Amino acid sequence: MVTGMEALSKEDQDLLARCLSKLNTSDASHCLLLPSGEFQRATGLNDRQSAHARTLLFQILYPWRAKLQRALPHPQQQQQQQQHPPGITTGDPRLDLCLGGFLPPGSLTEIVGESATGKTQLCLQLTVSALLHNPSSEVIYIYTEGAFPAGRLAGMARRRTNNVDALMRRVHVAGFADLETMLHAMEYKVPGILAKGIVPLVVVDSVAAHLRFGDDPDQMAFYRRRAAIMVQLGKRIKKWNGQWRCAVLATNQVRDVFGEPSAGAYRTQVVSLVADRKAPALGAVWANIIDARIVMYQRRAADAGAAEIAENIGRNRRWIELEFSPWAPRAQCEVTLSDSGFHHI
Amino acid sequence: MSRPVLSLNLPAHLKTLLVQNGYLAAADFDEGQGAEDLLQFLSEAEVQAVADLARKQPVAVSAWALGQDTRRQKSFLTQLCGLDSLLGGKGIALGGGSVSEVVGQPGSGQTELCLRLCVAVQLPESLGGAGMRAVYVDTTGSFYHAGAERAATGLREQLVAARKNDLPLQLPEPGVLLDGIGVFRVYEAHELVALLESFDDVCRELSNVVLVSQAKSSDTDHATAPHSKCLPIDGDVWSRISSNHLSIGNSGSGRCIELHKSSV
Repeated sequence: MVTGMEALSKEDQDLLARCLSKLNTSDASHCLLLPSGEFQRATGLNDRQSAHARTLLFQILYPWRAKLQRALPHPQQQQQQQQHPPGITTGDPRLDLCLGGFLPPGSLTEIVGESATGKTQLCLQLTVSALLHNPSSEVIYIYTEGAFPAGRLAGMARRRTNNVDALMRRVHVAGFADLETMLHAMEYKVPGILAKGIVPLVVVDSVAAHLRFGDDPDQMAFYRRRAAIMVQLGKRIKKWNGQWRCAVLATNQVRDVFGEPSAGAYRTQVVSLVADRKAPALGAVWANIIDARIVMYQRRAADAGAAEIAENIGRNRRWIELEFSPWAPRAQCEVTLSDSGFHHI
Repeated sequence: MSRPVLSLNLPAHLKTLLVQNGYLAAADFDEGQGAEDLLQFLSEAEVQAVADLARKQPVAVSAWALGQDTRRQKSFLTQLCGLDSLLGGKGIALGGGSVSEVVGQPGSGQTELCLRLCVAVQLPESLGGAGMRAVYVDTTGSFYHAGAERAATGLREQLVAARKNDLPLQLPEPGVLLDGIGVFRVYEAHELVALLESFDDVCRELSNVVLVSQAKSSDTDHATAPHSKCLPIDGDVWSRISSNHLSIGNSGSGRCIELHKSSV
């Protein structure tokens, strides 16, 4: 029995049940992935019955009248949004402005940068903001390298609230040392927590760690498998986004770019990273899955030509850039890093 | 010379039923008593459709006549400097199976362009639009209210700045423009199939729509073409269907759009 079939008449239900059994599947979606000629041949129905069955399947699997949304948010929603702006903020209003206001619910944003540029720090900062914004919310934090930076999280929280312990208790932390367990948890455990309906943010730090390198001697086979995994992962995350309206942050690493990037070559090039001969690690497949990308990079103070050389010797200058997003134009700003996180300079 | 039933423009199952019941040519059901016999195995609506079609004579159309039709074809301007002239001055054609494909790296502005089209098509014809509504099929979660609002207000400001005299423009409010965009969020391939196959119903009920969809580009095949530009993800198959093939890229501080192929 497929959900939605209960509303149909008895003959229609029987017809669909026959189709499903003839195609040896209990998943109605498989029926639609066959072209109509094959569907008819496989089910043995005549033309009219086949056309009718397919129409019923369309109505069940995608009732478009129910799914139609308007670009204009409902006036009630608009009011709600003004009172409690949704989305994930950094806690620093000027930095938020640079990032387009906030990371909207339902978005998949990538944070990419070289190691030690502060990707984890930014994730923690956004986590604290999400928890402070709504006292009953919880955040899921998946980490894949090293230990979870509990001390840094506590330190950051201490700057912004007194109730640090309560805040820390609202973070679901899970570490995964390999890809299979991570994918398994993301398929089964994470939705269980999301179903509580109070998770505005899921952090995956980092997505690249287990996907970058494989031990397959055949390079192309590895890329294909990896691409398939990334696409599945992306689909799963987008389902979370759509169903639970949570924002997902995924950190990505960088890889080296060898040779001159020729004018015609297309690689996922990030302008700010090109100067350092780096590019995002997971390639074009992942770049097409994410909704938005935040780039973090630093320059040595001397190279950047800072006027106040005396103070800045030895310190790096940092930038956070919203490279692309569907909700805000590209923007970048220089930031400083302190115990309470990143702040606009 | 009567037309064979199989050559009529009818759904396949109707043609099969007619042939199975002995109706092999259009002349067979032109006679008066044909209608009652047809009702034995067809519904009334189907009999009507068959009768209408049988009465029509096949028409041979000259290339000149088709050319006239093309000239009269509705189209709408995208209001983007350069793109309309790239497409022959009339913007994007509507009807006649016109499909435009836009390819670009992530972040190059495909979503922005789609939103711009959704807004531009709604403008009245006096401003270069088509007065139609738009349906945005979102397969990647890229549709955000903020982006759509930016497209609507941006277009309004552009038109207001470009007007040559002080006459008030009949510009719809941004709220109206946003209301005219219907959004379908599709997560799986079978949902997309279901939606597109039901699209006749969508158009009928929403009346006057233009379909805008989101596709993604992919990297080139490393082995064969390491230096070529980015390719659309379905490669050659989809390119054969689309009548306009554009690619967007970032060049320097601006964006550039290239027209690779157009049937116009």
